[in-house]
Order: sequence, then structure tokens, then C-alpha cells
Amino acid sequence: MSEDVIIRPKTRWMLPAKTADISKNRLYREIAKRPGFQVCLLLLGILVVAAIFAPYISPYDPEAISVKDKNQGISSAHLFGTDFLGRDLFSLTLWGARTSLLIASISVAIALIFGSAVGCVAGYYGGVVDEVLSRFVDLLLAFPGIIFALALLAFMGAGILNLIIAITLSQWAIYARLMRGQVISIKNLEYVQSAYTAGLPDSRIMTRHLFPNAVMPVLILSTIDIGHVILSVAGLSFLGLGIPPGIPEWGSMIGAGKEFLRTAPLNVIVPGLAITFVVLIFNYLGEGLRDILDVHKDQVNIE
Amino acid sequence: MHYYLIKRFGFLVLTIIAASALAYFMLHAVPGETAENVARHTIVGIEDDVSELVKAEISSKYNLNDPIWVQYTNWLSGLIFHGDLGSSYVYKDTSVMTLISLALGPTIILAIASMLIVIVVGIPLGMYCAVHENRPSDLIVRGATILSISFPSFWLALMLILVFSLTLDLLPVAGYGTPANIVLPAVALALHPTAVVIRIVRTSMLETLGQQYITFAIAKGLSFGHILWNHAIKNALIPVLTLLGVYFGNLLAGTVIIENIFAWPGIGNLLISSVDARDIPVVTSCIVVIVAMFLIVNFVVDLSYHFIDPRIRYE
Repeated sequence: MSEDVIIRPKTRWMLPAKTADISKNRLYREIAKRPGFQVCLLLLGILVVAAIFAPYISPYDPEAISVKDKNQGISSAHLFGTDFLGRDLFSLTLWGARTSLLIASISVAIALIFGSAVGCVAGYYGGVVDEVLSRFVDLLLAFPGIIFALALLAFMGAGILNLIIAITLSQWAIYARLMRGQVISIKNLEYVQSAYTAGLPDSRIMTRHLFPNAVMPVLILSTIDIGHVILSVAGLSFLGLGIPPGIPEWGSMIGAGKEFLRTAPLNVIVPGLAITFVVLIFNYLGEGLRDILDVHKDQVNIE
Repeated sequence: MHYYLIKRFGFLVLTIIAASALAYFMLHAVPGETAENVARHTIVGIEDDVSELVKAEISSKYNLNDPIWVQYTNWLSGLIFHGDLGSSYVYKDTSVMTLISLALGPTIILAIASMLIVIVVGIPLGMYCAVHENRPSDLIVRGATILSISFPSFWLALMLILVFSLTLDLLPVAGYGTPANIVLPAVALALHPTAVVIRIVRTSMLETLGQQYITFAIAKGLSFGHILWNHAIKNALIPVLTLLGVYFGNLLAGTVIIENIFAWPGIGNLLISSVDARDIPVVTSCIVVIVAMFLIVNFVVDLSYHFIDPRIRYE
């Protein structure tokens, strides 16, 4: 029965054994061939700079309430119009980029580091360690989407720090699972075996040999994940569970503006377009990276 | 096969219990405050300080003074032996089970409607793209999919309301009951999974069409339509099935926000209103129900592989 296809469901979310292996020069050459990718990198660069320098760029104070100017349309004075309290939507959106990018990148970075460390340990040691860690990861992944973050926030309350903690705790398991699969696929290669034979301590084998060679697909996942996390943060804030009022954030802007959908739809349209724009950039970059590094298509995307 | 089934089922039950423990301990980790919150939400006229007497009364009513693990064991045994999820703090004298069973129907209806959209739109479009690989129509659809996975679904829902309800006045803004009510929430919810399914069907179909048995069928002179619908589709759809299971979970998570926007009386809406009211028994139960639905669907998906492709066996 050797031609039988055997599916072991618990491993189906893992990457194929192939590891992405690429030199810096080839990466540059591949990027040079893709104008769309370059445009996205440029847009991301502009966005990051704009977010960092928001206090200097934004034409108005995002907190400046001026009721007589409320719900204005697009004009030369207010590029994106004004919201229901008369605040300048362009300035608010710009400050919102700060909040979104900051929260998303911090939580993805922590989730990536912690998750891949756990995955590396589980994959390298195997046995009981692997069994315990993997079962825990499975348990966390049984909470679909934002439910786990939502549950955490329900008991911790809204707040930037709590949001980062909740997102990190609900995201790290994906990285752990991916990293574990990568480590298992390379840990029997000769260079790892010789490092072991040469008597290197486990910690050094993991940090110097396994981690750098297994990390590429995890990094690609993180690019796409930043897009997902921006969406999750916006969703949680929309529900009033994420960012406390008073801090400009796209999701809570939509949540507050939805009462004025009929009379002043710009309140909702502008922040939504901002989210879409940023997530689109990250999705496109992630897609491009997957193509360039030739990680098996559409496999990383499955959460 | 039977051994595999039993093992998988046992693991399913254990995961649901572990998830319930996680949710329960997480949400009950705030001692003392619980009684105060309950008092604030149930007794009219309480302003600043909740008296110790009231707190003590509520604590003893809901056994809040027991250690958390005792509370959890009682809750779990109630669930297993009596099908009882405890009683809500806020809706007095209503069992959580009643609330959940009222909300479960609408959520399942909404999820099924969205899944239908995903399948009916996603699979044919994905096949269309595969057959027209790299032609303009394929590029347009692929561009549209990457755009759709970038929309926040709650924002799309609001845009749908703006266009179809407020401007064109075709569909109701929110509510539950008539078939017209389900259209907008189902579409908003289906958008992300549809886009992903289109991409997966396309990739998987292209891979299948490159196989030797397809070349052989073409060489035999069979029509391309016949090959596509009879030979290629079954093999191409196996990865899609896995994905549908995974995305069903995202759909369930998505219902939380979408139900809230459309005032859809489902689990998601119950969850959010209970979070606002700090009604912990209801929040815990909603989370457990969502996790259980997600796991059960994936369990069924795992089992259905064998029926789609008899070559697939289970260890």
C-alpha cells in the first residue's frame, strides 16, 4: 500500500520540508525585477516616515475639537474633511497610522521572537518537551481568530499595553508551530549533526545554526501577519475593546463615526480606506516575498 | 480507522475542556471585583460604593468565595452531567444555556449562508482563473482577491449598509427575521474567505491540471470541460476542504463584529454585550461554544477526506 496518501491532520498546517534559502545578492536581484514590489516598499517607507513625523506633518492638532466645523466635506483646508467633532480627518488618520503601525509591529515582533524560540526548543529537543509545548500550541490555535485576544481584553480592560499583550499572546502560537516544523526539517542535516558532534552546547546550536537557517519563512509570515494584526487591532478597537478613547486609531474612528454614516460618511470612509491601504501594502509585500523566496505558495497563509 | 476516530474524538473533547479551563481561569482571575460588577449591573440605584453586605450576598449566591478551581470543577461537572452552564449574573434567573441556545441558531444560519457564498462564488471563480491562467481576466480576479483580503470586514459591512441600505434603500440596515436581513451580513462575512478560496482553488487546480493523468485524458481526446469537471475537480478540491475548515473558524470569529453591526441576535452579539456587562459566565460559555464549533467542524473536515479521496487513509 505504498501509494496510499496518508494525511496526518495535526501536521497539515506546517510548512513543507523545503526551507527558504537565499543570498542577499539574489534577494536584491529578484527585487530589482519586480517594480510592484519596489513601489510597495517605497509606499511603506513613506508611510513609516509619515507616521513617525506625524506631529510635524499633520496640519491640525488631531485633538482640536471645533464644533462649528463638524462633518465638513473634502476641501483645501481639510484634505479628508472633518469628523463629527470638527477634528481634521487627515491629521487624525495620520496619527492613527502611528498607533496602528506601532502596536502591530511591536506585538508581531514579540510574538515572532517568543514563538520561534518556543518552536525551536520544541523542534530541537523533541520527545516530551515537544509533546507538551505542541499540545499547548494546539490549544491556543483552537481559539479562532480574534476570540482569544477578545477574551483577554474582556478581563484586562482596554488599553494600549493590554492590547499588545493580548495580540502577542494570541499570535505567538502560529510562529511556534511554523518554527518547529522548520527546525525539524533541518535538524538532521549534516552541518547541524557535525555541530552536535563537535560538542557545541544546545543553546549555541539553536542560536547559531538552527535559528538563522529556519527563520526565513517565519519572517515572511510576520510580514503578512502585520497586515492581519492591523485588521485585528482595528476590529477590537471598533468594538471598544482595544484602544481607549482619546488616542487616534482607525478602528475606534470607524466605531465612533458609524453613528454618522448617513449624514457624514467620511467619518467612516476615510479611516477604512487608510486601513485597507496599509494592509494591502503588507499583503502585497508578503506575497512578493513568498514568490521571491519560493516558499510553497498559499501555505504560509493558513492560520 | 476506528482507533484513529476514537483517538481524534478523545483529543477533540480534551481540547474543548482545556479551552474552557483556559477561558474560565482567565476571566475569573479578578477576585473581589466580580461581586461589585454584578451589583452595579443588576441593582438599580447603586452609585459609588457597593456595600460589603451586598457584595457578600452576591458572592454567596454565585459561590464566588470558593477557590477558582472549585468553581471551575462545579461549572464543568454541571456542564457534563446536567448540560448546565450556570446562570447569568445580569439576566436574573436565566440560565446561560437558554441564552446560548437562543443565540446559537442565528449564528449557525449566518455562518452557513456565508459558507454558501464562499463555495458558490469562490470555487467557480478559482477554476475560471486556473483555466485562464495569466490572461487579463485572471489578473483582474487575482488583483481583486488581494484587495478583498485587505478590507476590514466590519468596514465593508458599513460600506454595504451605506450603499445598499442608506443610499439605494434596497436592503434593511439591520435586524433579524426576514431573508432580506441576512444578505448584507453574509456578504460582509464571506468576503475574506471567498478571496482566499479563489486563490487556493486556482493554485490547486493549476497543479492538478499539470498532472500526467490529465495530459493522458487530453491525449485520449476527451473534451476539456469533461476533464475539468470529472477528472480534475475532485483532486483539486482536497486542499480547499482543509481551508474551508480553517476559515470556518475565522468566520465564527468574524461573526462577533458583524453581528454587532447588524444587530444579529447570535453568539457574537451575546458575547460582546456580556463583555460590556462583565457577565463572566455568559462570556466564558460563548467562548467555549465558539471554540467547540470550530473544533467540531474541523473534526468533520478531517473525517471527510476519506470520502472525497478513498486513497487517503488514517494512521
